[in-house]
Amino acid sequence: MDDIEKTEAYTRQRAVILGLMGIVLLAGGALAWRGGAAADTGIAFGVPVWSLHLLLTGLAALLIATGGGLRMPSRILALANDETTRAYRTRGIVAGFWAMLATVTGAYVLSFFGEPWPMRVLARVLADVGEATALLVFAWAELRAARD
Amino acid sequence: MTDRLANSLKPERERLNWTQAALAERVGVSRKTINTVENGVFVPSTLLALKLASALDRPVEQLFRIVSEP
Repeated sequence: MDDIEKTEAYTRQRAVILGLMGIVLLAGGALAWRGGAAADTGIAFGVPVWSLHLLLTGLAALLIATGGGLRMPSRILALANDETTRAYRTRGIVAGFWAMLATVTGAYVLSFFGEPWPMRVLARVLADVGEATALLVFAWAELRAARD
Repeated sequence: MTDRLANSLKPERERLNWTQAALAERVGVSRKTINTVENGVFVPSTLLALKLASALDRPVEQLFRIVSEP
């Protein structure tokens, strides 16, 4: 397998993983929204849920910002983060920004008609919606671009 | 009226019997980038356009052209 094929396999795998992370973040955000003030106060896998959320959002932010693959050979890393990938990462991050803005505007308007969201829930939902949108837009663009 | 960038990357590549992967290898990008440029999905940077022209041994203005659409 040459470098081009290795890059193709890696970028496809990365797009699938980031897409799945986006779905997990969206599901987590929905659960936090339903959980209200008690969101993220429980224990999972022996650690507080909020620390798992921080770990996941931190990892997702790192991957969308850098493209990941830091242990890959430099030649493959350069190919895997060439100008289309950088453009798609930027597209994802911009989409994430607009999704966060739409969510916070929606939460602001809804607060006049019902109980405002607790700050923790708002922060969690904003982070999840923004990152999930960025990851899903990036993953979709990458998988679409790889098609013949 | 809108302008878009058309290209003759695919016929020029096929003239040399190169695959997308072979051209990608020569210019140092992924096959996905060649694919998206060929399909008009992605507008390449000036640097990449010049590298493609050099690899295919064609003037850049022969490889890329502006098409105006109503």
